[in-house]
Amino acid sequence: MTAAGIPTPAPILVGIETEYGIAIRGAASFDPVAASLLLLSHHQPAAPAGGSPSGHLAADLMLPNGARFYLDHAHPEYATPECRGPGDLVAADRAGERILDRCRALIDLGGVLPAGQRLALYKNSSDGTGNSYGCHENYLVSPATWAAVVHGEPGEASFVPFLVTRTVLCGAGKVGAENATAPAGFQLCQRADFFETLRGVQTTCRRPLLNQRDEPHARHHQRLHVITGDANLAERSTWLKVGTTSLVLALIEAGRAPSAFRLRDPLGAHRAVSRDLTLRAPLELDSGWRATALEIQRAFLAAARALVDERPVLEALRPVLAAWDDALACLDDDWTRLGDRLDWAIKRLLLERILARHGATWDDVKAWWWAIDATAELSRPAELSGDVPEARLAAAIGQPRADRVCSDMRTAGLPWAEYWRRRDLHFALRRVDLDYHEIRRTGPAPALFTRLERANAVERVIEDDEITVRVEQPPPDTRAWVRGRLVEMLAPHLVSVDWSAVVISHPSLGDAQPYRIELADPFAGKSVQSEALLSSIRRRMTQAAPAAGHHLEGDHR
Amino acid sequence: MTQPNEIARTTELAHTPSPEPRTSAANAMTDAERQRLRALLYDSVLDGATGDAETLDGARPELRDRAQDNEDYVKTFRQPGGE
Repeated sequence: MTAAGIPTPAPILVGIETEYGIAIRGAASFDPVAASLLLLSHHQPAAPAGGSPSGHLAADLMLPNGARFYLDHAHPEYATPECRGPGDLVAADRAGERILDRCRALIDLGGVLPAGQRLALYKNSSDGTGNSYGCHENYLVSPATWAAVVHGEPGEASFVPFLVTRTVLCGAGKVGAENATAPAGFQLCQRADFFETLRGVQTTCRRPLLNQRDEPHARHHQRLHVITGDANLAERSTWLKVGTTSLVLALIEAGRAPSAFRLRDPLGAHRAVSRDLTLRAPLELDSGWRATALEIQRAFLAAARALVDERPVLEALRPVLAAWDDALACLDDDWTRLGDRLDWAIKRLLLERILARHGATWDDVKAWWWAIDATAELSRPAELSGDVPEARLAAAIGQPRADRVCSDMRTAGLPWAEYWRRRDLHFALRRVDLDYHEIRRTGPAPALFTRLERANAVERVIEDDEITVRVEQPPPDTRAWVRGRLVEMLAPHLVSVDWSAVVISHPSLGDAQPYRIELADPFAGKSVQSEALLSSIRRRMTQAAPAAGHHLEGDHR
Repeated sequence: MTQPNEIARTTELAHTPSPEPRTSAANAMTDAERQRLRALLYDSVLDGATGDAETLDGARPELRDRAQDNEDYVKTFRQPGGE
């Protein structure tokens, strides 16, 4: 129990929401909002308007599997149902990939787009040109823990050092740097370039390491909104991300989280860990001491192990300890051993095959990055041999910029003779970086990660069958079960659906409508009580209209 | 290019034994053998990907087209910010 007398949620309930990148390949230009709406409109079975929290058909769907699929800003977003533990969460997250890809495949099959065009979906977190979109984790915690993390000392002294250094486990990897940050060849994390402040409620600008959004969607509990993570494809990356974070929140809940690693410059450390391909760079601590990301992770692992040993309620998370330990040991020894299980390592191995073919290094990529970026408008000639790029540069980007680029290249010792070779490598790396995140599973050319998975080159932590079940069904042990069943059963009669309430309207309700069914307890899943509620609603719907004032029995909590 | 029989062998590609949960059986391959097979597999995947960096040799027109394709593909992936 917490100090407030609220039962400690353990294992902590978790959900994850992912904004997908979207493109119409083969089109000269495209509108991401229209493309996202096209995708949503191909969800089958089509949801009625009432199934949408906003009431807008096909823009915002609550699904029978307990998830939410909607247009957020200009991206298609999939929010998993509430899940108990990292295994269920991985299955629910991957079910989202399947659902979105199924919509995409229906667009292909229907010949909706003009010939030569196809819709492509990317489970990544930035476009490589300075625009980031989110993959947010949500952890159900006690109000006391939430306040401690987002407003208090444990947030800065414990949770931030953990978040900054968990990049070594769950970064998705990317080529280059964005958002006017320091140059990089390869980074472990896609999102580190985009965090600019320590705390805040905002997510679209000046992104904070500690998000203070206060929307619990539940009585007696709070939802901790973690926005620093990358969207992951590798199951073990997602599993470790959610599993280790759940354990650290349990440590904070228990007052047992290591607090000696408060970072002197948390934002700088976040970017430094992301850029540290040696995994050995020391981070400056507020105390004047220094510690590496691996040392900090080791300290959290040791504390979590002790807590799990003492608290049987955390036993379900014990497998996370072993995997966490294994990952840190591999990183300490030889990161390539993780080339079949963590996103950044899988991607880095792939990309380093390309580097090896050309005798190039990440330092070369980093050195040329800005020059290629500044000259990207220079067109590729039909014949490369004999081309003198600098002679054509002023016509492409204007004389003042051309003069500056030429001067800077001379200063940096970058010879024009190597320009096209370096530029081709630059875009080949970025192409594979992007290809890695496409989720297409069907058709003549499945996407890169799908091929790796089918070749047994990446590790799985769940079975395909578990994903298939989550495509159709909500987790039975959270309120998502009741919500999903209500959506399935009452589709034509839904007035609105939210995470914590379903509102229905039906002739049988008489004056009682619209009738609101509360789902305030996120742990209340499939049970005798919930099945009784569903049965009573089903019975009522098949009966004649009742007398005025007759209510459905039960307020499900 | 990776030979088909070598690609077939990668279906046996062992993961470094790691803790549960996992669905693939680990085997007793050495790290070196495992890494060699993984490299072969990755090469086969890259050879089949449009991101093949062999465009750099500049000798084959279709590969040069692919370099342009890579640029176009990357440059047209501009996304609005989100969250």
